[in-house]
Amino acid sequence: MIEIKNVSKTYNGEKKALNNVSFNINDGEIFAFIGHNGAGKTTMIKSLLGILDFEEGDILINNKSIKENPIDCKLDMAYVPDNPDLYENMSAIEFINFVCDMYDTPTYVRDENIKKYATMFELEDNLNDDISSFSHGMKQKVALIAALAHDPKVLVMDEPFVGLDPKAVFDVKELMKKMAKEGKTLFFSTHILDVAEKLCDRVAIIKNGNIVKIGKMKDIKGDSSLEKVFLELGEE
Amino acid sequence: MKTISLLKAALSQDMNMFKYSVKRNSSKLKKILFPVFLFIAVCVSIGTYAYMIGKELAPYHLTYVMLSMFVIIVTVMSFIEGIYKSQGILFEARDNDLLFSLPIKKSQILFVRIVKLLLFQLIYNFMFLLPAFVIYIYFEKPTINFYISSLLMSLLIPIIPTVISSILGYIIKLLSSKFKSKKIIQTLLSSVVFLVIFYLCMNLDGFIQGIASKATSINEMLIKIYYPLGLYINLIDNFEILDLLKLILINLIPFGLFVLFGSKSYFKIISNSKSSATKHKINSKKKFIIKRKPIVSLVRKELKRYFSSPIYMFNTSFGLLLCVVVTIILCFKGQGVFDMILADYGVKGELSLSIIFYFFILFVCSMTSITSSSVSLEGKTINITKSLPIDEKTILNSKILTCYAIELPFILFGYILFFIKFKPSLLYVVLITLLGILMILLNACIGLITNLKYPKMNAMNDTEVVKQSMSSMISIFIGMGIFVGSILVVCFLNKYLNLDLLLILHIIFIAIISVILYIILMKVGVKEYRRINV
Repeated sequence: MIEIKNVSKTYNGEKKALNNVSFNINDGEIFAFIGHNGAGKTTMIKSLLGILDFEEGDILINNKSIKENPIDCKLDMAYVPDNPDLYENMSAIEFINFVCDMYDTPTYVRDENIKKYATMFELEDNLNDDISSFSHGMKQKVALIAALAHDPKVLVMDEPFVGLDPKAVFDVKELMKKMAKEGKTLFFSTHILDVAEKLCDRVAIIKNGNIVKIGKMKDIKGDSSLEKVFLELGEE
Repeated sequence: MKTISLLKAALSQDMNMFKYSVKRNSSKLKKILFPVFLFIAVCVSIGTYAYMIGKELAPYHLTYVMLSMFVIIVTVMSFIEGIYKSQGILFEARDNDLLFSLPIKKSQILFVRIVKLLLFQLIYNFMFLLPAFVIYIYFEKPTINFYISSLLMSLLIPIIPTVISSILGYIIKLLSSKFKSKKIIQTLLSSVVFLVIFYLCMNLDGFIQGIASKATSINEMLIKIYYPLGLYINLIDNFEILDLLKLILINLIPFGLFVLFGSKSYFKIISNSKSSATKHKINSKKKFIIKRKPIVSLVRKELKRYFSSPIYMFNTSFGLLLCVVVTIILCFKGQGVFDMILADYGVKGELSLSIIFYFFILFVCSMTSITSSSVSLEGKTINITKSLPIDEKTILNSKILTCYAIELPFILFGYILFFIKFKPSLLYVVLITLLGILMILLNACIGLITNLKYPKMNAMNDTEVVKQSMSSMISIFIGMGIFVGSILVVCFLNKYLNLDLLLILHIIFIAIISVILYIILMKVGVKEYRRINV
């Protein structure tokens, strides 16, 4: 479970990227975070992951504070970055192994998961290749395998579908549904409103660092489409 | 217009290093104070050296010889720096794809990148030339000719050496792009070129003496050594427009020709060097799923990063290679090698081999600054590292351990040879072993602290981080300071204290600073690491 409590983050003491943001994401829930470019999505995700310090408020991951107990929180989480800037000098398998080492993942678990997800994303023949030779989509797949290989309880993804081929998008969506059924928490940002509309249990719309709308999909969009609601909020 | 826009974009990136707004955040003021202090300290040290030479030459109106010396020094420096940087700046920039997709001529891209190389060299050169000019003005009270010629010369000095080094870099890249293991070939070829230059520099004395014996005047000698230098010295005394034109053209023509002809295969070399990675496929069945401790994995990651960057390796391994080469020569030729080198610097007399070797190791360790770039080189991947369940102390410790993994084998090799050949006392063995261990820690801490204080996370290529960042500059100057300071203090106290005791005190001093800096790194450095946002 993720609890975000009155989080505020300011850049250079001036620009407020997050303004008193509060919401919860329950276990077994798929939660999407949508907003325009520069609305504060990545700042929220980075704060949640402990990559970025924030001045006010707190974030709890399974009842542990990211400020006070960052390592324990991170042990429960996995992250897929928006732009897969991975360690280019490593091969895919070396990178995945490296991430698993940090989580102290037992050999049999990583072995099983790497095989499973590499087959799913059709990357098993490329695991020994250098990441520098990969396309954007392939790097995204490596980031996904590395994130999933240690069986995280909470999966945080920043624009996970960008660069993926249609089959991989389908597989990731199915995987997310499966993980949610297993009681895991899934939090992701996206610009693809169609995906958010069909996949998520709840959604939050962020604008200029403020949550302007949050709730179940049907409550937010009513009889309209999510795209329409999103565009109307943008004009306000 | 396009070239100006390109230049503006390229330079705004570089100039960020010097651009600090001090209004909103007072800590930024502190950030700029230290580099300014360092710049002044270096200028004052060089000025003192220039003054000492100028004082001897001024009574005979030969102060221009001192000026010539400094011009030659910065010319050689520009050449060596160019060898280090040209491959990275010209060929390994991250904006290659972007620039080549735009409707810009290849020659414009090449031109802008050489200007980038020149600009940084100008800043370095300024630190050496400014004190020399001031001392010359102090002794000679020159006319306006001097000011005009010197300003022009300062701008022109780096052009020829940078063009030559760029040609060498171009050839190295062209040759290495034809091989499968491009990075290894590139590092090997660069090392060979560098060793040849080093050998030529060592034999410069004979070359100069040969010229001097044939020259009828000092001026004629200077012209024969380096033609633009002779023209410059002429211009100071007799300002002639023809000489001025010659000086400008002699510098600008090679530059123009290189841009013109170099741009012909520029794109081809860059695309060839890129294509290697995609062809680099290993047997798909060879997967390695091995569980390691987090710290071991982090060190492996750091090592992989180190060995994947020719400029990073090349820049930090020179001292280590020197350690091996000098120790081998020492074992075969004995103390004579050091005596010969020291005699060149005017140091004569009975210096014990042990003490010279002690300071040689100090020099090697002080000049090897691996960590001053290691945080910046993470670039955007720092977000991955920061998202992992590892505390910042472990990450910083892994960077220190990486220094040990790289430096220790070279130093130990030197030690073993030295111990076998010269059989020093047990106390000396303990002291010099401690020196190696402590100096690696000290230098790693200095590098990390400066890098965390002055991170450069969005660099266009590794060269910008390794050669042109504030942290690498500061670390090298601090290293030089430790080396020179240690020699001065030991020489001064040698009159009052026994040498063994002095070395023990020196080790204790190094140990205390290392521990203090390590504690600072673990407290302040951790916070700084957390604060980095890319």
